[in-house]
Amino acid sequence: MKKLFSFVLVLLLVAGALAACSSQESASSKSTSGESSGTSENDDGKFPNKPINVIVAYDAGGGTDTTARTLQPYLEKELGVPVNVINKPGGSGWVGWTEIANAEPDGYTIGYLNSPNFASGLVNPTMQRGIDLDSFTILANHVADPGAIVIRADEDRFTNFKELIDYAKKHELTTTATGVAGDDHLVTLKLNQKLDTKFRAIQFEGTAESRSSFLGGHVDVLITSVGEAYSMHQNNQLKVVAITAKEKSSFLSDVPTVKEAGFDEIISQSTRGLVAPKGLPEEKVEILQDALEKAINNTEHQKKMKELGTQVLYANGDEYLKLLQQDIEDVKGLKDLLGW
Amino acid sequence: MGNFGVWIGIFILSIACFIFWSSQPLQYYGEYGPGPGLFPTWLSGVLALLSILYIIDCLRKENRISFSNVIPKGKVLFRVLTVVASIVVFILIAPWTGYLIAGIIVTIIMLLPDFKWYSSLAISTIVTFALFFIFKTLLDIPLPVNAFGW
Amino acid sequence: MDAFNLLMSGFEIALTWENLLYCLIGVSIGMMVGILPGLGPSAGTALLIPMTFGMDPISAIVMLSGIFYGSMYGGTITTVLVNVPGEAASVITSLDGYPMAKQGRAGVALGISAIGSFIGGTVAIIGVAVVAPQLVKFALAFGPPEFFALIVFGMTMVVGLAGKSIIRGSIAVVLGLVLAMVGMAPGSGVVRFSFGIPHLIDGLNFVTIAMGLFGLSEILLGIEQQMKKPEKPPVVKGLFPSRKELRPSLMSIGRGTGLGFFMGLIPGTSSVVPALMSYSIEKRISKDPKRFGNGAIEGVAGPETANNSFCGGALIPLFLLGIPSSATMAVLLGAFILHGLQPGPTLFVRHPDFVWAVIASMFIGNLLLLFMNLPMAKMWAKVASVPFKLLFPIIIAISIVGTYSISNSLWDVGGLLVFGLLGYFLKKADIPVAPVALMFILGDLMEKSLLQSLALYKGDFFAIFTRPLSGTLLALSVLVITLSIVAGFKSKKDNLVDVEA
Repeated sequence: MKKLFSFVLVLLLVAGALAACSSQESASSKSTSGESSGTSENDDGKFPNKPINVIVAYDAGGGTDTTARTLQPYLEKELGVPVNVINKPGGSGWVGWTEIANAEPDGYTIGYLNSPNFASGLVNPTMQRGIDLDSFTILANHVADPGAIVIRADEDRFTNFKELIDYAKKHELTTTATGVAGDDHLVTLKLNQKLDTKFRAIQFEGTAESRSSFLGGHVDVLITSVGEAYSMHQNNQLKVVAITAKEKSSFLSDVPTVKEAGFDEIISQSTRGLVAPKGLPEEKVEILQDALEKAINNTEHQKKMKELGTQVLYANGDEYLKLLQQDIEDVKGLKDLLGW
Repeated sequence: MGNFGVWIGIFILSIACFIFWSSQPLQYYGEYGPGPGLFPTWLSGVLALLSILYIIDCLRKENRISFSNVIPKGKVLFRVLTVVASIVVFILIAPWTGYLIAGIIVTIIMLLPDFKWYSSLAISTIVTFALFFIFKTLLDIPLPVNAFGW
Repeated sequence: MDAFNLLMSGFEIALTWENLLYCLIGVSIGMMVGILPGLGPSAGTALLIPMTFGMDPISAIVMLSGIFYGSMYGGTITTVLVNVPGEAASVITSLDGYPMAKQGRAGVALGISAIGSFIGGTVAIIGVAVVAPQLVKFALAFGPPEFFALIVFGMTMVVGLAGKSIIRGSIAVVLGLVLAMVGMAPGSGVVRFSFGIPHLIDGLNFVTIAMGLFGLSEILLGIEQQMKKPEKPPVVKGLFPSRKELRPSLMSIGRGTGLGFFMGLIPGTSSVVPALMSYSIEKRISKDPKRFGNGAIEGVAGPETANNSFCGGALIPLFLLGIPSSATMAVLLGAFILHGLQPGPTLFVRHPDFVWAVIASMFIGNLLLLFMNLPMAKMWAKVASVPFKLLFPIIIAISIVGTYSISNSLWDVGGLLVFGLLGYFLKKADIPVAPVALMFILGDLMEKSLLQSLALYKGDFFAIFTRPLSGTLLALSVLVITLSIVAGFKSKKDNLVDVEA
């Protein structure tokens, strides 16, 4: 047994040394080639010429992580260099976002921004953070997941969105939320603000928890996102009565938007897009934006995302910036309801 | 003043007071229940009370834990401090030297008092490279790297 | 009977050479990941998902679930041998597992854990196969008020672990609760005590706290002891519990299995709850509670079993409702979806081959783990006989990388040091550290579920008492607390045994 153990150890060691050496070699050869062409001139040489790191502010295996890793191969193909997904979880996303903002603006560190979580963090007065929207160079939006308003399949007090709203104007109903001023919470607040309903949001830790409380009958209405609800809707485990988007979702073709159901338009969606630290040179911005546009619009990629239940919504830098600014305005407009 | 228990009590008391003080600006009671300030206020208050009781308890003769009994001296203290120092060193140098160098240095610091320098070097190199292989190569965890990417 | 036939066809799929191989690979990788502290089951599973992209869905899930329970078992190894618990439930195992290792009985502790895990895991899987659909109702009956009551009940159990002095125990309990207050407050989203540090917005990390309070502080104390009075590494004794211990440990395995299974049905429960409850039940019904904390075999067997059967039970809400009970389950759920399998009540109907193959492979995986670990337990136990001066630098080197990998930053390495020193001084001052770590987890859950319940009932606290399940649990908690206080006053020193030793 002892022999075997030491054998395995040696094997590990040799393999480790080899792997380390090879990575050293490739790294050092790259760095020497970088030095020889000079540091500043190197920039106008060929960008990119080394791996690009994509920071994801959430855990490996989470939604944003899956999104990033699905895009990874297509982005590698467009850029011609390896793309590494790096998880920097913690602080409700702020650890990762701060890391992106403080990175060297050389184009080799970019990352995902999640809104409205980012927007509400900016507005939350108790959140002491050192960065702002203009700490970033906005590249492109990747996915958007509209909010879904859901009732139980066996609910008898109301069966569609109109009945739900009429009921909620007279009676208090509880809704779920996953995080203060998170996307789900904002849906409830916007409903109360625009449609004069009496929904009361209960805060849960995450979708798993809010959904089980809803299915168990402890909460009346589930507020979640289309991506989280569509398969259970198709299985008749629950009923999505409306979505908070501009147009119908391709995942739920039988569900109207709030406007289609006959009310004022309410738009609330969670978006994941790519940003870089501010001060990124214009030509690198263009290279990255161009590659992202092609990678995101790649039909194979879109097909894969659809299988995952995630809706791709490409938006270029300017459009994405507007989207983020709109989110911040929205949260600010709800400050009173949030008690901030 | 050589009573260790009293100093631990004072340390806990100061943490409690600090948390108590920091939780005062937080809303005490919300719309439907405890606000963000209620629990911290009460808990730190209770903790402060308990630490005072603890200090009193430690002042009694039979519970006295004297410093000389618990805080190591001389060589022992030095060894404990090398462990603490090695972790501090890792935190300080890893972002510049990368994991491999930092890991080797840190492990050497801990090994040197007990082993010859060449065995220390060999053991720490083996351990560090093995860990580097497992975490970086197999599990793809972005360990700290230096300017050269390792 | 139908279920039985389906299970058999599941075995047919799972027993193909290919799937058997993937199961073996998964279990082995899982053990490796589990042994590395800091990198818990969830991170381990998540990091290896990309490896499964090119695989057939059944093989992929077979391998991933292998990683999952392999890593749970791996975590036990480090906990028992070097007192570095890598996840919440292991904190409980460390209470008696590490003292056992110190007595040279690491092999026995690991052996009984392997046996217990196997029994707990397989019985729970059979439970899933047989009664799954009927139990969904029970799972859903647990709303925020019931959850709050359950956590309060769990807290009363921690108080039982508080040690020989009421003051010192209470300090540990309250200190854990205070640490839990750091970070964003539930309900209001107000960020407490973050002092502008983004890492603190979500609060402190449990794994960092556990590795510091238990692992690092233990090493520091160990160094002192070795230098003052060098101790020979304990002689490794056999693998099997003595005949006298066999019956009690089998009994506690039985109790742990049932307890864990039912707790697993409740979504959102931390695996620490069943382990903690099992430990205190064992201690309470034991004829000689003083042994607990000094290497009582029931204190390892019960909680380890409960932890594993908890994971089996947790498959019910995962399969039927798509509700993961833990971070690791959430990662598995992600893998399901990634491979085109949507959980839900119709999963059993639409993909019966898949469901039953996975259940069968879990059975096989548990068996593999048992066969791998009984012989390996002996080998692992030898680790405890490596000279301390060589062992401790290696453990610290592993702990540094492990804590780094929690959030890929040096922040958690600093946390390891801070909590290590805190644990070192607390232990010197006779303040037990286990309640600090346990209360840290429970405190967070308690505040959250209390606020949810109060928001549901618009601030009416007594409404929680009027619900049958939560009312019963709260009444039980009051009873337990009263009994401990009465017992504490009656015989101040005899009844509350110091578990820290």
